Amino acid sequence: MIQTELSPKKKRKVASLEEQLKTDFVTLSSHQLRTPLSAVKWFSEILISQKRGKLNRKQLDYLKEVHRSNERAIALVNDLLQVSRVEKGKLHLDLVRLDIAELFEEVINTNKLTLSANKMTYHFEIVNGPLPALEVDKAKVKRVMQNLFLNAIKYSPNGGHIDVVVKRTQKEVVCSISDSGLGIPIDQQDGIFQKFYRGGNAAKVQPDGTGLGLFIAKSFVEAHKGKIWFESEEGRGTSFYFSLPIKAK
Amino acid sequence: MRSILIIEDDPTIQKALSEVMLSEGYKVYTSFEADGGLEKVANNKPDLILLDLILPGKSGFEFLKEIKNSPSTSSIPVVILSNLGDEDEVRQGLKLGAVDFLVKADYDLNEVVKIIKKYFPKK
Repeated sequence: MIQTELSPKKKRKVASLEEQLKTDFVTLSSHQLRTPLSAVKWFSEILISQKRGKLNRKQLDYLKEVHRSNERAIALVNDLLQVSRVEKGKLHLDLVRLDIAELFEEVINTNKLTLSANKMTYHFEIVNGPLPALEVDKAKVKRVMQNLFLNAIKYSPNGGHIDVVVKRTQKEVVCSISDSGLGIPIDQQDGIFQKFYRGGNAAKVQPDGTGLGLFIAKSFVEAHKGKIWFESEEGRGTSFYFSLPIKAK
Repeated sequence: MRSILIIEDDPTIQKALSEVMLSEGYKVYTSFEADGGLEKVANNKPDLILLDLILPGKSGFEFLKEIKNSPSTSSIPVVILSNLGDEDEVRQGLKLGAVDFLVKADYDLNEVVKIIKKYFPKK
């Protein structure tokens, strides 16, 4: 059990707020963690801006490291909160009808600078179009796409190509993201969607990853009654697939 | 000069927000808790309120209800700036009349400054 250092008065307040706000202990703990992380984030931003005084090169670099590490801590707390919601069955879907291909193009556009910096090309294709509008939680599906697309970039440290295909079948739309990167060694494939799982290649290309991205992606896809799976060959690359059902209007 | 009331119980967070808002040219009022905040609203009629949710005494939601139920203060835009951020909390905040709900840890200070600008009443 996590012990928080709260005064008795604040403990009573938190307990009554928990009832009032219908939050659980994990959510409130995340709040307690996020508060000092926000303070570090904001004061380091104020200093990095140098509006309060000029910094020398080393001071600026070190402060940027502080800010970067803090952002990773914030991302971890956010991911842990998501995982907690998944495990408590509190994952809520804010459903809207949208064009899944357009959403994917949005994600690709957001990553164009990263693609270029990593000397990578991409190809986007729709198969068996036109695609029907799908009823999805936009933020969650976008997160899945972003996670898989960024992984394709990260696991291609020598550059390469990413193929994104959005394909309509009779009952679902299947999205695939294929890279020509490191691939996943066969003895490391079983645990890919588990919490905190990080294979050997993960440590090489993303030493600061949380190991929660694919667990969260799988939870989000399955919350939509979809499926997520992959094919991979070490040294040749990986293809991740996820499907989303087509619902009748 | 536009004015902002910051209701935030963490002194470090309150200091960071005040600093930045002052440097943006706003007049800044602050309170560590809701009842003090209500007093500042009554005395100063700020143009916008930045509101934390978990506060000693009354919660931010209770503060928001009171502000929105009073004709003299109901039109003041309130932006919730909290490190809670569950969908239920966001929905509740917006339902009670907040114009936006930002999770502190997810926004740079520059982003907060940019977002609140659009909520000031047109003069």
